[in-house]
Amino acid sequence: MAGVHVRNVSKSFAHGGSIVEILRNVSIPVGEGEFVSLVGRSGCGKTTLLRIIGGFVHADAGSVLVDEAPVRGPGSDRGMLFQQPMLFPWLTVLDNTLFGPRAEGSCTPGTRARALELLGIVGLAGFEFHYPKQLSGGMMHRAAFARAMMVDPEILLMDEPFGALDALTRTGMQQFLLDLWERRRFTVVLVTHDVEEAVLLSDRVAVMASQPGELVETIPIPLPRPRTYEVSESADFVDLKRRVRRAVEHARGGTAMVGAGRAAALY
Amino acid sequence: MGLVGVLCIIVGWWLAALVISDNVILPSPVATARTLLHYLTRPYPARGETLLGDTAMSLARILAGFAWGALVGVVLGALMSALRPLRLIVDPLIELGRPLPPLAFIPLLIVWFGIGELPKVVLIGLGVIPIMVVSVVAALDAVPEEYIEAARSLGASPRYALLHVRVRAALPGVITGLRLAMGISWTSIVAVEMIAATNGLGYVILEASNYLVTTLIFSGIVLIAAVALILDGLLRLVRRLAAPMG
Ligand SMILES: Nc1ncnc2c1ncn2[C@@H]1O[C@H](COP(=O)(O)OP(=O)(O)OP(=O)(O)O)[C@@H](O)[C@H]1O
Ligand SMILES: [Mg+2]
Repeated sequence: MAGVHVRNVSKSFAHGGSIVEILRNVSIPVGEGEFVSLVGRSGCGKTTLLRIIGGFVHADAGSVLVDEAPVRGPGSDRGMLFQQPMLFPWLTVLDNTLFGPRAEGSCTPGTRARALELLGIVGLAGFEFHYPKQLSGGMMHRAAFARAMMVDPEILLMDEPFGALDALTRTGMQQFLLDLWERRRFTVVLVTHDVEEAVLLSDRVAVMASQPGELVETIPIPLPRPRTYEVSESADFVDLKRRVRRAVEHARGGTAMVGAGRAAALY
Repeated sequence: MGLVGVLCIIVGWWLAALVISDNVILPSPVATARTLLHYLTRPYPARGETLLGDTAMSLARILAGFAWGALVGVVLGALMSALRPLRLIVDPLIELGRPLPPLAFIPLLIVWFGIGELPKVVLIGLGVIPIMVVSVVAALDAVPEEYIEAARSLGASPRYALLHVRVRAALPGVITGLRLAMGISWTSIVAVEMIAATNGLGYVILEASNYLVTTLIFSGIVLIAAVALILDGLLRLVRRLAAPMG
């Protein structure tokens, strides 16, 4: 396993002739096997930061280190999960899961068996030969997890992975992620709008201010592990949630930019 | 279900033919079928060609023109999608050329290439190219960037992601473009065969109208519809294979 060290990352985009500073001097050390969430107002640069870690966007200044080595581009050491599961619709669930090993040319006789086992772990036994369109939203996300786990990433980068799911399915997926993380202990950077989700899942919650995006506070979440959804009823949980929410609210940023939907998600 | 519509048209045709009861204005479906079947394998007296032969002639022209047009269109569209400057140059040309019906070029093509097979095949290709360019560019542009990012973070090289994800994801859209292009090919071929040919289904229809053999006109139309339907069915089948579950 490897940690991720975001070091003094800055990024600007050209926007209609002017240059807009999106990220200013952001530093977040994420330890090996640590679960860190990134919260902040809409447009503060969370996705941009995640894409920099993923190697899809280059920082103007600063660097991202994975195991002391600077990130130069995308790689299978960093799995990516998006708001939409992004399964390839022309492949069955099993073939989606096998995409990574096939792309890497690392298929061995045991690969298929391992994919089937992994699909069993994520609760998709019996759906191996279904196409993504034949699955429910939650099942698609679990298939996407299986596909990502197949290449044994040391780091999992997630951008609001459950943002498009209904409340009940989302709760189920959060529990699923907690269990998976207990098993594998990969390093996680999770972007979310859902303060409750951040507190439930994380070891630490990093709060960002916007315009430009800056790290304002990192709040440790010392809730006992392994966690289940029940922990959200404890007084400690409620306190932590309040603390994170305050930090997000008080972080400088374009209040007017927060849409009603986004604002609702914060509370 | 699709058959119900076809049956309705045939019944309507039949009733109309009964009411009009004039074989020159509107022959009945039965009379048409008789003519069609008769001359399918027998040459029509005034010319030495069977309907089957004319159909084969039109089909060969379509397939040749469609093949080169689709090839050029797909390659050009793919290059335009990858290279912004090329797109900026070619896009206005396509926009300018699109409202022009390919048929407007027939006289010019005849001047340039004579009345042999070449102008016909060139014309069909000219109609196919813009349709394929537009649909290939649209299909490639519509591939979500996250597909590529997902593939790359699963260990795919840029080349592997391009071939196995971007191109593959665009395939159904490209096949839909092929179906549209096949439609315009029929428009082109029938028109050019009416103006500058001595065989093919378009020529049969024109000649039959000169001799007021309405059953033969209808036979030609029915044959065009049948062959077009078969070709479209094949493309639809390919599309279903390319996009399982729609
Ligand atoms: N490629 C780009 N070119 C220009 N501007 C960009 C680009 N990518 C992002 N931006 C801008 O950077 C800012 C931050 O975007 P980003 O997507 O990182 O925010 P976010 O925190 O993820 O927002 P949300 O919570 O709504 O997802 C936005 O104002 C956006 O317009
Ligand atoms: Mg975002």
